[in-house]
Amino acid sequence: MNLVDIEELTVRYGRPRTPSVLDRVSLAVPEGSVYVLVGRNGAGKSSLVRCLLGEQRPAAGRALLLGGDAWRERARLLRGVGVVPEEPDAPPSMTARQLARFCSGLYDSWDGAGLSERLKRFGVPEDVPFGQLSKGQKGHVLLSLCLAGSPRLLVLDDPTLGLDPVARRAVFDELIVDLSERGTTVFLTSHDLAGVEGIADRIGLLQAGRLAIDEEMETLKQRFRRLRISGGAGPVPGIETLRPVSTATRAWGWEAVVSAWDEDRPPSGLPESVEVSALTLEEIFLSLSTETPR
Amino acid sequence: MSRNLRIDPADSRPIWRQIEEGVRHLVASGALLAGAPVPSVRDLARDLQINPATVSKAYQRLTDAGVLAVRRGEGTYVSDAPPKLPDAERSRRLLQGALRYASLAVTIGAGRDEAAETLDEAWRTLLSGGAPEEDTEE
Amino acid sequence: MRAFVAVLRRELAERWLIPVAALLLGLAPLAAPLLPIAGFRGPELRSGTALALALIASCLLAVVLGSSILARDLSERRLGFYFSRPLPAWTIWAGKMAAAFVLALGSGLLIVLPCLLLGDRLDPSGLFWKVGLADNVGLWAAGVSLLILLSNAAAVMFRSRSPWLLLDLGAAALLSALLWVEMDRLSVAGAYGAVMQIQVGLLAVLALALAAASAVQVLRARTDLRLGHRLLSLTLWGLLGLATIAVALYGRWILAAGPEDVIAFRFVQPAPAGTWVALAGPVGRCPGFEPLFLLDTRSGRSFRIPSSVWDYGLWNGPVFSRDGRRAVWLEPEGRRRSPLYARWLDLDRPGARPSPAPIQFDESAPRGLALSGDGRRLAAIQRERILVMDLVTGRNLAAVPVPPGRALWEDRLRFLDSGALRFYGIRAAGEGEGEGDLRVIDVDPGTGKVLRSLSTPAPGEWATMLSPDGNRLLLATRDLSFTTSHVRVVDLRTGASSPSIPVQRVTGGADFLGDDRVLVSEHAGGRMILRLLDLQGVERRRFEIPADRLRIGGRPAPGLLAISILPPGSRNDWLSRRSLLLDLDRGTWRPLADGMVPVAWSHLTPGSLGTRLFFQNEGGLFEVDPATGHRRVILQPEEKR
Repeated sequence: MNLVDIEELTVRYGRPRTPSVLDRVSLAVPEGSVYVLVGRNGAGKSSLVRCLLGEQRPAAGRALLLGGDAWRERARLLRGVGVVPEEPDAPPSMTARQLARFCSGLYDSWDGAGLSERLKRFGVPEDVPFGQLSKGQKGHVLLSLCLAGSPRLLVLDDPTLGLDPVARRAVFDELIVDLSERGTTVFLTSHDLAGVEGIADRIGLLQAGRLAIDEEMETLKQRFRRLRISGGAGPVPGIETLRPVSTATRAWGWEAVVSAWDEDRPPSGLPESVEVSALTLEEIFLSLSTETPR
Repeated sequence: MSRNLRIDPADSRPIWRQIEEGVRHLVASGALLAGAPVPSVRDLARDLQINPATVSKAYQRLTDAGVLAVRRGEGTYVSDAPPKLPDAERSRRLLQGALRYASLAVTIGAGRDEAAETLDEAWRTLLSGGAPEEDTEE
Repeated sequence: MRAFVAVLRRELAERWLIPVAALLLGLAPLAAPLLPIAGFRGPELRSGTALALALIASCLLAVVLGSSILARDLSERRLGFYFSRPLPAWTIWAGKMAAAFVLALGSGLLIVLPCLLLGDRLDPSGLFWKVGLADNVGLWAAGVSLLILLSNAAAVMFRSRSPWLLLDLGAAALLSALLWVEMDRLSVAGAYGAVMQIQVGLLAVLALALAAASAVQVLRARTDLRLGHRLLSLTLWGLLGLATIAVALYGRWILAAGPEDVIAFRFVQPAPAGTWVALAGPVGRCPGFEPLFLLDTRSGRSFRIPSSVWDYGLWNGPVFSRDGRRAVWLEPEGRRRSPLYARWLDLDRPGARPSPAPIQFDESAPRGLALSGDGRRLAAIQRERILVMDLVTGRNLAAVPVPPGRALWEDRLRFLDSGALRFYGIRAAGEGEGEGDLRVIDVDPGTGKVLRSLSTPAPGEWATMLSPDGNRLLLATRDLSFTTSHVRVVDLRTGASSPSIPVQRVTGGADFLGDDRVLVSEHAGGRMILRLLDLQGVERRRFEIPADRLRIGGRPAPGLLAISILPPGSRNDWLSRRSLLLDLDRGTWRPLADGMVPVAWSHLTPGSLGTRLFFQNEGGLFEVDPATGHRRVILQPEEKR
């Protein structure tokens, strides 16, 4: 079963003629998997999350959450969803304990002990008003709150944005614990490509409102390669069959990033001097975003 | 154990394979002795900052292959016995690896003796606990 | 419901300081009686101070909370805290609004709590204002709700920082202007009841529209402030726009009321000749609206005179020329009471519309309006001067000072058949009450030359009826119990008087038939006695009719007099009245119509249309043939309910 099903989602602000923020985006997150949505600022990530959480009504298409229409059945569906927003949005005057008391009544099950333990682990005091916590602590409180409700699905909107490496690590730690203990399904948007590299099962790239990539992490990484030729040898003949996403002539020679590499069948006719290397997720997306300047 | 396992995002192999091969290497090199406990999926995932499902997949494959064994309620351990494979299967895999190695040797212009010498050297390195060389030929 | 309570509790808990502060503030009035303010008792001063503080605090809180409780969360992007949790959108909206309401009203109540505990009635009449807490707590709550909703909407509009704010301001200005115009139109016409209804209704609609708009905003735009502002504005201005249209339609519907909508007659005044009547009375569609109409009883054509009958403290109905071919009246322009403009209508010209005359009266309203026989000259008394003006050109033809002294009875003007204008009135020479003189002045309306001026003592007398030619006047004595002790007829040309005719127990009135006969009705316990006297006081005829009340009507044919009576023992309402037809020559009478009252007094020319008009108070108007009793329906009462 898919816990998230985005179907032909289109979002526009203002009049119907204005360009879409999201243009017929479709994606699915099967139960038990981790989907990471990446994209630059303004690519439409937040709009997609808002639609997914039923905060915004799509201009066309729909967002299904746990199988139900997110806009129409928001409140019912959110009982099974934990949300960590991009900006910490809890009332500044409330302490973590008060927040916990408020939230505890809203969910079917509530793990108060686990919450306290988690906050202790994060090193967040329970009786300091939310507004006086550091940015990292705020994120930790919100993550702890949503985990305490034992959600089937976690929706994390850039949960590590603006956090220092230690706090970021703590967030991912907690996430991984939850993943391993309960097999929670996760939908996560992020800027932090290095951080999500090991976590994502599937990855989506939003570019200017369109889903440029929506692929298993593994296959994505398998088909991208960097080819480098030192010296004067120019473009490799027949490279088009490898679908290059970027090519560049450098001082030391020539390089290309190709997106249709097949490990088992490297193309014949590659010159001897070609150096083939795999790319990190960050490098893959970097090459993609240089190809399509925004 | 996790200190000896390295996950490299720039590695062309999927992470689960990096783990699987890393564990195999650790076992083969004797860094992990038979019967020694391996970290839980959760701990390894936390240490490596990766999805537990990925670790789980690697462990599953290793268990299927007989490298690791699960004792119910206790955790995961390195198998007491070396992986038991049917003889035919073992020969087939060995031959497969040998063919790949031989073809690599031929492609880069190494002679039979040089290849055999290198194989022997690799064998010794492995058993002495040294790091395997980077797999760049794949 | 659980979610609603959770939101409400959380919003209240966040502001726990407010009720605590209110409790402390509530102690302050206890010190008020110590202040050296003379003239008030301690408890009065105490509860007055408490009430004042409570009202101020709850209004202030309503504004502050209304403008922050939702809009601030939206603009600081914190509403998502609720929206990312399993809380239905309505509970978020309702919980926040309810919290603001509870805090604003509750704090006010907490402030007066110490006084209540001390047993104060919280009714400090005459201290600051006249309010009792118990009676007005509902009004207070309504006011607080409206303030919260208003400031919430305003805060959303301002905080969204979108150009829609200009549209909001424009819409607010436009709708206010439109509503003002509509209500002004209604109050000019005298439909104050409708204006009140509309004002109360608009406040209710405003509260509902604000609540609906705010709810739509939260339910549909959720955490999106800019979209929320748009939805709020669209809903709010849409609903208020509809309300404005409804007000306009309602106003138009009310002002479109015709004579057929009058459900009770305040008065019906037939023209001296012709087929027109002026009538006024409340219309069923709007309480308190008593329009004045000119109605042609033949064609059914009618005009509403856009000023109410008793406005300006003066009789404001139309005057007819003696030939009944022209009516003139005064009306103001817009809401202002002055100047008053003269307008006329040619009644015999088909399709004629009311036309303005170039005549206006400033500030002090004119009295005694009269129209010449040919309808071309208008006379009036203003600022103690008799004025004659040409109706068409507006030219002033004459201005003559009225006789000195204080008017004891309304001064009147009458154009004579000779063309001269006659002034008559009873005026006191000095300060002594009741010692009046009948003063008469005849003026040449073309030149202003005084043709005749006479004065004759009329102590304790009132003028009741003028003969049709304007030459003789019936004077009657009246004391404070409205009983008449004698009547007499004075010749206004000479001042000569008939002998004083003693009468007793006159309650049904005395009347003058104009042919030297005087009618006097007397009350005799279950019977009314109608006496027909000659000028020497000799009784010529006597009718004894079993009745509790009697009203003298007109003469629908020479020698016949229509009257209406209230049969003995009947309920005193109009439907119980019966019209009778008396034969003045033979002394007999016969029933004419039940449930009807003759419209006219006896001064109309016998047999003219006005003398044959009868009305039912429910708004029926009929022409009754005196010979056959056949009735022609002019206005049908049954259709009005």
